[in-house]
Amino acid sequence: MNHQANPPVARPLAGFAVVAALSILTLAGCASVEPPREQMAVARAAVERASGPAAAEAPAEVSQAREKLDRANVAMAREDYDSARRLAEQAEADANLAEAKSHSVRAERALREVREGIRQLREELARR
Amino acid sequence: MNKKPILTLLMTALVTAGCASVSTPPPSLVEARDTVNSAASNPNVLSNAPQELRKANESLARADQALAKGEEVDVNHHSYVASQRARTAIAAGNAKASEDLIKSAEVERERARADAREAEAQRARISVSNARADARDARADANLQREQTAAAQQQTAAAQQQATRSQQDAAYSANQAATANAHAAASEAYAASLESQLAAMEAIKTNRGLVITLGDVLFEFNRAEVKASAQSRMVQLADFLKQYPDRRLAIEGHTDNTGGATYNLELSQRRAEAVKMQLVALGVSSDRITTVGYGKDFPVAANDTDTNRAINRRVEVVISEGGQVVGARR
Repeated sequence: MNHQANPPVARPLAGFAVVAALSILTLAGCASVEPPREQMAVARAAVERASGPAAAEAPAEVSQAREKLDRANVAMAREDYDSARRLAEQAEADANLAEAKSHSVRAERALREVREGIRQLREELARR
Repeated sequence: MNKKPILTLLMTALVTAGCASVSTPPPSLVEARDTVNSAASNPNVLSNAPQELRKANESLARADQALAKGEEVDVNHHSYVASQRARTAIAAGNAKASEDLIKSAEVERERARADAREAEAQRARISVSNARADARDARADANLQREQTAAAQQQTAAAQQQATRSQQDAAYSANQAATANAHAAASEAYAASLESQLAAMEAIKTNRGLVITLGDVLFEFNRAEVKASAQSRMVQLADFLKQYPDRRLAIEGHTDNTGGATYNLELSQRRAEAVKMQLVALGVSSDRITTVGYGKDFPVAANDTDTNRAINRRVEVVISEGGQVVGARR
């Protein structure tokens, strides 16, 4: 007969546990609590790539990327991993844009040079 | 125990409010949509940077999801990343397009370089052929110069020969002159010799020629033989005639008027013949000599004294000038 008295006590406890689990799950869905180490590494590599020769052709993007990477590092140190992940992602995007822009600018310059070379060759050819 | 469901509801509401949906999209999402759209409509992006465009679209989808969930921070974040990725796609597409253009431009440049090289080679060929032509001209010039030099040398040689010939001619002329002088001298000597000899023989120039009178003293009275004492004159005459072999002579006999005409003609003829024979004996060709007897018909003095008659008794030797035959007396 004793075992009949226990279930009413157990029921509210089980309900709480379900709600708590749901809440944790929901919180996990909105923000990562794990430190975004991989993303940090990717961002670092991207910023490093963009800081090379690209710095001259897309200085604004490069400095923006660096600044965000710095802020991401600060956020990591603060254990604000959501901010760190976002900042790292943006730093990566900025660095990638800087690299692409630099690539594009250099390609256009090279194209102009080649075309100028052709023009000069033709001109010289026509003059002779 | 009644409070517990309320607490649970409150917690759930709080959590849900954290992910609450935002009905109007924020400017960052609007910008992201525009940027991704323009990247998607860019042919360079479609053909050259589809990976980047795909990543931009993924970020844009996440932004939309965040918007649906009302997670504003994530909407802004994913919108920003979507915009940057779309821009990256555009830049990468343009870069790739530029690189493709560079490749074709490099092909064009190689063609231009090849054209330039060909033109250079053509110029080189032309300059080589010009140089060859120059060399040919130079050789032709050199040959011409050599020919001219040779011609000049020949001319010099010819001139030297000419000079030598002229000298020879001059020498020859001088010789000739000397010879002529010698001849002239010889002629003069000849003439002088002739004159002197004729003078010695008492020759007289007449229009019939030189007349040498051999006097009566040569012959004995009434005889036709030349006296031995007259031999020296005959030798002198013969020498003269032998020296001038072209001269012809006529030997004419004359008498005085003593005796008959026929006798005198015969006597004068015999005496003329006697002189001829004497000359032939001394080596004078008989062909050159004609004889005639004129008797007493051509006296040179009056026959009144013995002296005068002795003068008329004579033989005249007429020597022609040159090779003419002596004409007869008239």
